[in-house]
Amino acid sequence: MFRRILVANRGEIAVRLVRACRDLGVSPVAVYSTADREALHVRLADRAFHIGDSAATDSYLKIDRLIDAARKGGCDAIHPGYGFLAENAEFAGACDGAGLVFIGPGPEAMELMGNKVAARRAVSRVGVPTVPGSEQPVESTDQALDAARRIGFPVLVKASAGGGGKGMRVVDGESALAEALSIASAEAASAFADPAVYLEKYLERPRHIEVQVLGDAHNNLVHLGERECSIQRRHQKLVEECPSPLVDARLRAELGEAALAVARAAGYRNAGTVEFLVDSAGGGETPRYYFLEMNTRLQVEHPVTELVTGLDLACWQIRIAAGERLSFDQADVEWRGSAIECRVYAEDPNLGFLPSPGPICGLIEPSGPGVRNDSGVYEGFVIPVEYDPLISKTIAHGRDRLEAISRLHRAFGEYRILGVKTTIPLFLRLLVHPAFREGRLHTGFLAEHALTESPDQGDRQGEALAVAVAALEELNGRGTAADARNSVRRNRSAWKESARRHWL
Amino acid sequence: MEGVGTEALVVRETFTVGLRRYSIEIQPDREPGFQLIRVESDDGLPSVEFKARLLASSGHARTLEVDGQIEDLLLLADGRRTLVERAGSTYDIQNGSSGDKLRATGHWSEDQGPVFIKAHMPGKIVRLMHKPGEEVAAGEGVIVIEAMKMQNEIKAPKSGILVKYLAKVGSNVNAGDPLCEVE
Repeated sequence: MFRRILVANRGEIAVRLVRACRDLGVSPVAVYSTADREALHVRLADRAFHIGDSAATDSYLKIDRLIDAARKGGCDAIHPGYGFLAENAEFAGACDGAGLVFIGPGPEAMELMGNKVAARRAVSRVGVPTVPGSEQPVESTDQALDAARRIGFPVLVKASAGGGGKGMRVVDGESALAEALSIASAEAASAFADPAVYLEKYLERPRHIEVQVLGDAHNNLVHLGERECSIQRRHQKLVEECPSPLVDARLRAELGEAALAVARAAGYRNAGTVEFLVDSAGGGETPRYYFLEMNTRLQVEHPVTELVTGLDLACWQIRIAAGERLSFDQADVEWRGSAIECRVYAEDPNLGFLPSPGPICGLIEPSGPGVRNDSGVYEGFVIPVEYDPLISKTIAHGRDRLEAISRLHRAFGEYRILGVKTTIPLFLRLLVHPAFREGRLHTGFLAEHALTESPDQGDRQGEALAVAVAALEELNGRGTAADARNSVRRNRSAWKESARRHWL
Repeated sequence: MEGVGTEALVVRETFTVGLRRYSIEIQPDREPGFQLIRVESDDGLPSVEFKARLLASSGHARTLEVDGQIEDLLLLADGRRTLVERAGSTYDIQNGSSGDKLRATGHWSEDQGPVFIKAHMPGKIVRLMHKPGEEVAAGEGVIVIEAMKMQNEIKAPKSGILVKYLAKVGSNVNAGDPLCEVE
């Protein structure tokens, strides 16, 4: 096993990986940008190195500084987490060149799957269906127009090096294509340092279902079943669950085999995810599935698979990279109950998911039976504007899907975040929605059921109550309350203090 | 409120949430320890009345009994502004009546006259989508801001002439900063 691991990431995933290190008796070493000096992952690590200014391009994307930090920290391995350099073959190669183990797949597999166009070709060769699309990145508007006419509108413009919904735009007709190409390409350049984009047929109301695979360096490869991630906004996942309410044992075996075929074709080892779009429109028939892409890293949503299979994926990544063999085979993999994850973002779900960075002034995290909250923040932390606005992932596990839903709803009833807008109000509406409870999911679910529009009357009542509470607080603070028992003055200095810290 | 003793103190307050103005009246209830809080908004909806008392207060946490129900909230006040978190939603309440007709929230209060389009969030200006003097239609994109790795198109709140941009490509802006003027 390794002695020290450099966690080359930030936020909740860096915290998750620091914990995995601790569980394995490995010393975790953190890195941080200027904006993250006070971040939770730094506080939990054994050592931490400053790697540059706040912009990701000056810090978390700087390969030489990360390698340098690993050397200074006496590390023998680097875990890239997700995002940033997690799927960057050059980074994996640089680690290798510096005598550091990159915790992930080999650079060849990363290169193949990192290039979405090449990946689609490789996957077709092993007989797994792919979504119709342009076989090459499009280099001009004319070329894109030709491809789009051949595929048929609507089309999806996607970053060739992409993931996470960045550099992705839906285009309904020819007139909007040029604009979408330029925005997607600019986003791709800024997020992945590669402006190349390609086109894919945009499927209406598909389901997003992905299969987790895990392989060691000794030719053992298993799949750990599927996750459904159909609840999305801006093509980014918001809610994920295991198992999918659509998938039965037969489809699970079929998707699993397809995922293993893809992983084998890439010579894959470590944890990876094969994503499929599933067309469930033809009720009664076996749903059709298409390969979308393979993510050569740990996914944000890995905890739902961990809870249902009982396997610690982050720890297994580290063990595999250290040369250990999988201690189980496909027949040993069992799925128990159901787990659902909601991503709590610092965004306003009632205002088009507008980012809402800023200070977390108050925080009470949920707990209780079946609830796990993988968080990257603490009370007093200021969510920086420079990075992904994920606050935490709240996950519930139950003996079946409805129990998991109830537990998650209960968790959001307890979860309190003061200071920034979050996606929690949306989850409170979603988890009681009949179509969600019945598992009738698709990627346009939130828009179809108007869940991103706040139910005005209900919220007005809440707003009036909030104003009443503010007035009462002001009254108590001034000490004019008729009832001395109401006095908040004892605590006044504490919250004044906090206000000064955050606002003044 | 008839029947309330003469020593009962009635306190009146004004608060603003977004575009709504609230007038509040607080007075002690007949039942000791409770306050009656009447909340009236300026948008014509019927006023609401709460009978409330504070049960516990610790740090930012407040537990109140409101009309027989327990309300467990987080609250932060600095005399000018109060943040209240309730049931997953955060309410940003300005103490007093705000005279600022240009809001930083992406809403605009008037159809007439020039409006300044303000940044919804801190970020970097990536693109100006028009030239000064051009006509823009309501809902048309005018400026692209990058924040948290996403490019967000800011749209014109009304049709008119884009008079000028007040921000340059590559510059960083804060929430509430004016970006351009549409007349």
